[in-house]
Amino acid sequence: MSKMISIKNLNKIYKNGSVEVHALKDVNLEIEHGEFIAIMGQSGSGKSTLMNIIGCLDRPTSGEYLLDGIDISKQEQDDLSLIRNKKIGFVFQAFNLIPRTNILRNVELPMIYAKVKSSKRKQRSMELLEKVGLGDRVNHLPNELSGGQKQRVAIARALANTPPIILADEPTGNLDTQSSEDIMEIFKSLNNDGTSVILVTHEPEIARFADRVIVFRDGAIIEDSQKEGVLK
Amino acid sequence: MRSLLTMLGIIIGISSVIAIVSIGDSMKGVMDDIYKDIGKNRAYMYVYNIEEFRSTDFFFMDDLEVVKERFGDKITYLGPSESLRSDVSVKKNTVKLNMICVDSGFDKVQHVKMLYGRMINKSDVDRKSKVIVLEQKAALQLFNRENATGEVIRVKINNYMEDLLIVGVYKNEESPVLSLLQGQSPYEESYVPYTMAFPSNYGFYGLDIFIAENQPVSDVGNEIVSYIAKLKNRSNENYMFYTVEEDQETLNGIVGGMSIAVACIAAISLLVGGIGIMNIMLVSVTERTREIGIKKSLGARTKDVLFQFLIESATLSAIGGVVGTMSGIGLVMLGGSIISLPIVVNPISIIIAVAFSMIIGVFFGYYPAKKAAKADPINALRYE
Repeated sequence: MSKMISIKNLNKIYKNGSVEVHALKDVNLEIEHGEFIAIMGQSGSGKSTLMNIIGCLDRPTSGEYLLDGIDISKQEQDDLSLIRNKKIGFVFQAFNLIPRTNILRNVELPMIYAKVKSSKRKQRSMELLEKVGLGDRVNHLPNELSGGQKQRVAIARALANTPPIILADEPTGNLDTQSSEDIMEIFKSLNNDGTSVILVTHEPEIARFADRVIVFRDGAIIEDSQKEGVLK
Repeated sequence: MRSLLTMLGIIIGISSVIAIVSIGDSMKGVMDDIYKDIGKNRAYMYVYNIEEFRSTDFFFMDDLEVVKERFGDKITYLGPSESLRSDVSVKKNTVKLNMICVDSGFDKVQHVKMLYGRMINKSDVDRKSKVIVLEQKAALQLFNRENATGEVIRVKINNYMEDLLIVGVYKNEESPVLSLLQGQSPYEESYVPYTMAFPSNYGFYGLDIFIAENQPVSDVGNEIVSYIAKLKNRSNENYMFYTVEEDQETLNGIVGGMSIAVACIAAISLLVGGIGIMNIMLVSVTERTREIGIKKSLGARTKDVLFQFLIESATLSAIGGVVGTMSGIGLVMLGGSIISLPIVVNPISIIIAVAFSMIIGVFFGYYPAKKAAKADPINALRYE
């Protein structure tokens, strides 16, 4: 079976006026289906840049990124939208729910872009919100929910089109310990069902949920360790 | 609140356009009614531009007969354009009476609603009968009842007192607007046979002519002018032919032109409204940059975002258009009821107004929507 993600000699250089920032330096990385990975590192280490590239939000300056065999650096913006829609579910630190729009509608959104029929959309959204324990709040607006609840809506939304990969960028960064635990449990169970989870964090207690930890510093991987007892 | 202010521009623009177009349409409708009252295929002919009059230049009763004979198939009525005025008293009641001198058959070309008795007929004209047909208001004022047929009134005709038998009473049914325009006349109306009112050698200055329905009014007019000029040994320029139709066309043209000019000014406020929409959409796009970023991360394509903002601005201005249409109609209805003018609202103008405001929304919304759609997801997501 081919690798889900295959990254070779990846470089990302930001130009900010005359200043060049070399955010990623010759990164090589392979990720298989069903892995649970934590990417760690200090801010500015390049972990978020890598996350954006893996999430097809950004394109590398040089190097190769294959997602399920598709060369991402050669895709147009609208094709990238389609790939994000089908293959990747995002969970952000700031939740990023659409304001003034009820949570059912928020969860439906990726399915609207995937042109899923209205009745089916609604049914699936209800199922997902029930799965994250918010089945009784479908008509609430995001600002009526707590942080933990918002993040659960975000997870439900990320799962809408059953993507093979969940990308979570500091998903517990704005949450208290208890909510963080709950969210991580959800990720764990998703991973057990076969979804790959890649999360970016700088908290070791969050990273311990993962089976594989990759540590970044100055745009390069300095550590890539597999948890003991996990079958590769 | 903000969208309401934005829509206000469109609302004012559309309502003024609708109001102006409706006023224009209503005026045309009113004038149509007025000219229908006067008679659309009616024409006047008169002696014109003669420096030294000869007694033969005027129209004599014999001339009338000759013209009637010659143009029998092209005209439906021909009579002198004359009326006489006299005070009439019955007991203590006095009425100022205007007597329109008509030939028989006047009621065939003009609608005369008889309440009692009959209209002036051929035998009245042939025998120069001393008869009169009164308008109901005159009858009411003189006899305190509408049915005054059989009564006799004494009127002054050409300095002689004549006793006229009332053979009929009719009701004047001209449009309220025409009466409004004519103002309060102290005279009440009536009809008398023209042969009775004037001596047989009298030369009339003007003629009242009704052209047959299927005939070209001005062509027939020109023919009659040349015929009479030849008869009188004068040139065509010495007789003037004036048709109601031409008159109406001129007036309609003036009103139409004015409506268009004012509508153009109103359209400028639509333009201003459109710019307002563009402004608010640009603000909205900037404010919602992050939302755009989120949607893009969830798989929204360029055209999804483009359509979302286009639909938004089109909706905004279409609502403005609908509200503007309603307030515009309300405005003219209100104004119309105050001056008791019948208001005509053309449904096509409503459809055009709403469609046009949507087009404005799409046109002025396109640039902001394009800007939103092109946003880079990464930068949009980071936007605070």
